[in-house]
Amino acid sequence: MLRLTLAQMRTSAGRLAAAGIAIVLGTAFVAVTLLASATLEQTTHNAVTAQLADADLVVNDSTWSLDADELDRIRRADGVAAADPTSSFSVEVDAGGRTEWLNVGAVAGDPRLSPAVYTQGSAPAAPGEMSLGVGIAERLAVQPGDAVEVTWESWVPDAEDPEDGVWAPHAQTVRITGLIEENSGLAYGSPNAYVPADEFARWEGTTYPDDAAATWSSILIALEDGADVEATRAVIAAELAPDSSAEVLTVAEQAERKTAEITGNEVTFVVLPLGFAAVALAVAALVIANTFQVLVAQRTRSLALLRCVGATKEQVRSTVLIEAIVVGLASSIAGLVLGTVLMAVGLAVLAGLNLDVPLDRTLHLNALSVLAPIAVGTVVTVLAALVPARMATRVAPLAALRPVEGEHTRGAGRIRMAFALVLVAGGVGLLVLAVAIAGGLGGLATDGALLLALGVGVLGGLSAVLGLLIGTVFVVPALIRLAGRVLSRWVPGRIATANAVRNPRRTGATASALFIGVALVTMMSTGAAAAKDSLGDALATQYPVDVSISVGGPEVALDAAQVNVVTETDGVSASILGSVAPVTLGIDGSQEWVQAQAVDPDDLTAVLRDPGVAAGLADDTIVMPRLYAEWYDLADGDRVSVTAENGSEVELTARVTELGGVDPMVTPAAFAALGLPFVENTMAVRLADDVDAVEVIGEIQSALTDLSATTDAPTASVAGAAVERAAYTSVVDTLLAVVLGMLAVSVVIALVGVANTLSLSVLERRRESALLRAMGLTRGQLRGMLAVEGVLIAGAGAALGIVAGLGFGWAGTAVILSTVGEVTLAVPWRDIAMVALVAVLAGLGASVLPARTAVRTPPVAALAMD
Amino acid sequence: MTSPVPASESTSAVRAVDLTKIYGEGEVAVTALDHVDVTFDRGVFTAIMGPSGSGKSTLMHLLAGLDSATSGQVILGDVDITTLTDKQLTILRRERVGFVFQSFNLLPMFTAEQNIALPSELANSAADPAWLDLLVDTFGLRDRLTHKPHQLSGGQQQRVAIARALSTRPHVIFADEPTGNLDSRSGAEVLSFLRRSVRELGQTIVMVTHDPTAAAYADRVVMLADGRIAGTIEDPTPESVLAGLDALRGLETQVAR
Repeated sequence: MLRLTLAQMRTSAGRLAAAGIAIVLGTAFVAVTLLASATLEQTTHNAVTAQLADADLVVNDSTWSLDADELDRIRRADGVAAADPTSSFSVEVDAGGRTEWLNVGAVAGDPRLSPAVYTQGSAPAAPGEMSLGVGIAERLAVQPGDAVEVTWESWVPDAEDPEDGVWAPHAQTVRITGLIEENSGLAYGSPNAYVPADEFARWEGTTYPDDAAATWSSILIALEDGADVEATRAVIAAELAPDSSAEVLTVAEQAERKTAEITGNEVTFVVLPLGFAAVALAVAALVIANTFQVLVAQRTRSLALLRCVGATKEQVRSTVLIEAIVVGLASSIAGLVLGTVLMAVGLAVLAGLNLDVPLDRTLHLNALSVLAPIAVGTVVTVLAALVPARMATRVAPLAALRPVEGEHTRGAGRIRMAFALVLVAGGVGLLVLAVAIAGGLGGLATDGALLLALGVGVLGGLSAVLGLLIGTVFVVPALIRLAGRVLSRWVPGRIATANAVRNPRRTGATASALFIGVALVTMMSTGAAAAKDSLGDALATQYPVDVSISVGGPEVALDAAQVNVVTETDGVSASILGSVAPVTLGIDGSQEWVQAQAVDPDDLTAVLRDPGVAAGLADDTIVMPRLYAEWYDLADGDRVSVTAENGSEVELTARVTELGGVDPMVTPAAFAALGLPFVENTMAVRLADDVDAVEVIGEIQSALTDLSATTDAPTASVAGAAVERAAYTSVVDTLLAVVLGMLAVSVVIALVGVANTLSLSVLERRRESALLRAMGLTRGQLRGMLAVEGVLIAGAGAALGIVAGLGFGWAGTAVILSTVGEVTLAVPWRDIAMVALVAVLAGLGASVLPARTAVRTPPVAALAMD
Repeated sequence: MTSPVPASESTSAVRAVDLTKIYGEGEVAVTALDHVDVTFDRGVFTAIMGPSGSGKSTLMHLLAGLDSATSGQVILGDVDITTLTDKQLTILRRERVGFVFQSFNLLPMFTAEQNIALPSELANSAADPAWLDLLVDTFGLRDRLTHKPHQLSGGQQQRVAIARALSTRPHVIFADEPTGNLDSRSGAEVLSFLRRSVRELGQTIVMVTHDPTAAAYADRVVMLADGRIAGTIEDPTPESVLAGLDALRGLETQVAR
């Protein structure tokens, strides 16, 4: 049977290879994920062990209660050569105006306990000496031999009121003796500067109030040569305080534990991609199942002949399953190789970048990362082939004697239709229910209700997807017929439509693979678009002004040249001038000093991102930020008395808005009433929407600096909220790009499926194509016909996916963002257009190879075939 | 309604001039047609006969422009089709040639009516409804128009195929063993329909067959052996055709010695 199967496979090697691509991509995804997680773990492990230097044992106490007595006892214990606590605290270093925060630690008493690796100079030995990271030295522009000023603060509680106290400053000048390698970015909180142990104890001592002595969470221990690790470990454990919660660990144990701690938090980096890999594999399974079904259908005659000459059903089934195993194994191995190569290339590229984490560059090919992708790929392939295998067993021996003509595919049954309808309707109902539950919260989210809404929503989504998958057999041909109507005047188009729907199961299955990918991509885009819109609204309120420019002091005005320079900078779309002056607000008897800003309400709208923040600004009102109003229990409409420094006073009506900060806003008329001159000492600028905020603000800044340096214009400071807004937006964009990239794999796999199904159909229809050619279908028309068929199938899958994805995306956003407030249902037109375009192009592309074969076959050759 | 035979043209519907077809190259080269000169007249039902491997199917494929000649010419009407590009050939086929094959004549996803109308639609020209009506009635397909091929019997399928071949009123119809897959009763029916097409509708038909009974329905039989014309029989009867075939076998036997 095996020989027969292999012979059969050889004849359809091309088809199987194409189907195999789906599995190759899926397993490569899994392989990369596993390899990447191993690299992440090893990189972390390296960072952790680097901090443990060459120590032999570690005493760990999560309660930070290891004290000096215990340290002494450990140091005196048999077999212990040296023991040092690990401790560090933050100081600020100033080198001629450049400052940097450092984490300073003590030089180890034994070189085996020192994680510091010197690249230049030597370790500090005397008080007043220090070594620090090579990167820090570069940023501070210092070298060994240079002196820097170190400052730190310690909290000194008030003797009478322990709740109160002051930060006492400490400062010392130190000379740099050496530079050390920078820590891995993963060794968070490890020292990147060292001072001698005595000096460290003295500095550290200043940070403890009164006589509280230092305690530590861990002590590194180096053993004497020849000392037994386990014996010494027991000795040390005995030396610890009887009620101590500390543990003695070997370095290997400690490294393992620490690594697990750090990577445990990063489980999302493994679980999330594996989730997407699962989606990719599910799509691949659909493609495989479809390919095998088509292959079995095409082999009906030879399978029947096998049955005629005495093959049992089991034998026929096993030919299909053996085929699946071979294809699955071969493609999974290819996928593993592809994934490994991709990972190696990725590592090489990343190593070229200057990351602050020293990447572990070896490929971690272990049993798990090799066997798991192969096993998963093979199992998925075989599972996908189960249904086609059963189909093969149903071929009756008599089929060998029947002519293949007059094919009539069994339509899908009513039960299936009913099942699909119930699932979709139920799913949509659940989604609506989820939105209703979330909406009922009215912004007052209780976690329980939100979770309920989410659970109901996810259930609804799954049910709807399942229903649609079952129902593609009805929906996709219907969609294709609908689209086909447009083409009914063009004969090749009409034939293409008829061809696309003649085997509803096959077309449905092909389209459903694409449907899944497209639905997920659309859902993510829709969710991200809504999140971005909501975030955008929130940011517009938080940072209503893109850039504000001000000069110090209420009397100094911005120079006309400065105003000109700003308004003429490329990327500035609008600007207004305002005046800021200190005033005192009288609220409920208390007097509060604030900086009031006077601006013309009409001009203001042009520069505000969210005009709502200045709502109600008029000559007799004062706009109060919500935050400030809450502090003083100020309600909208309350009367506020405003007093200028010259003593004049007016009463204004408070208008509380979402304005950020604490400073109120009035009109120039209010300033006039207070006798305050309108000194143009502040400027609000709005940037055009399509410019790089960082760049434009940089240009404004340097133009103003140049002016101040060359003329007697006052020094102006520039604050750019636009930069922060851009940063927030780019985080969402980046996340979305990563997610879409991972989903794209599924879409690519689905497209492989479309191409494969199409070429199988073309093979099946060689004689039809030949007949059409004989009857006068030109080569161009034949190509066009196949292109239309490809586009119709891909388009139907994509259209269904887009609609479903939009629905899920909206429902998801409505539920998740319900707590944030108003949800805008955005349609990511650009992304949808791209998905649709990709589907159409892919449909066209999928038809290219099959069309070449079809066009090249001379009609005579195809007609001669039996 | 224009006449299918313009008076200005010659009486030949399709003509082979010194036509040669060699398959393969070098030692494996097989000469399927060896300098064949033959003329098929308009309004005549001609049968091409010969034993297996005599080159009769090859001759038909070349005459119909389905395959390219190694040398020589095929003149269809007044066009030398051996000089045409694939596209020109395709257009010539759909406008001036009709086909009836042994099997698989119909597109399974279209109804009988759609199959009949297909060639005109491919040519983007509306089929003459009166002509189609006439065809449908002549071939007794009125009740079968909405049926798909798998709902039709073999004989009915071939009748649809003939109606389709006639639908564009082509210059010539080529029929390749049109009764090969049919029982004798259906076969006789199909052959009489072919003859009616010639007699009543003025069509030209060239039919390849190896069945002397089928050949007897033709006006003229062209005998082919070893890629050469081995003779013709006018107004054949099954007996005369059989005698002709026997003569051919005798010839072959002699050649073999």
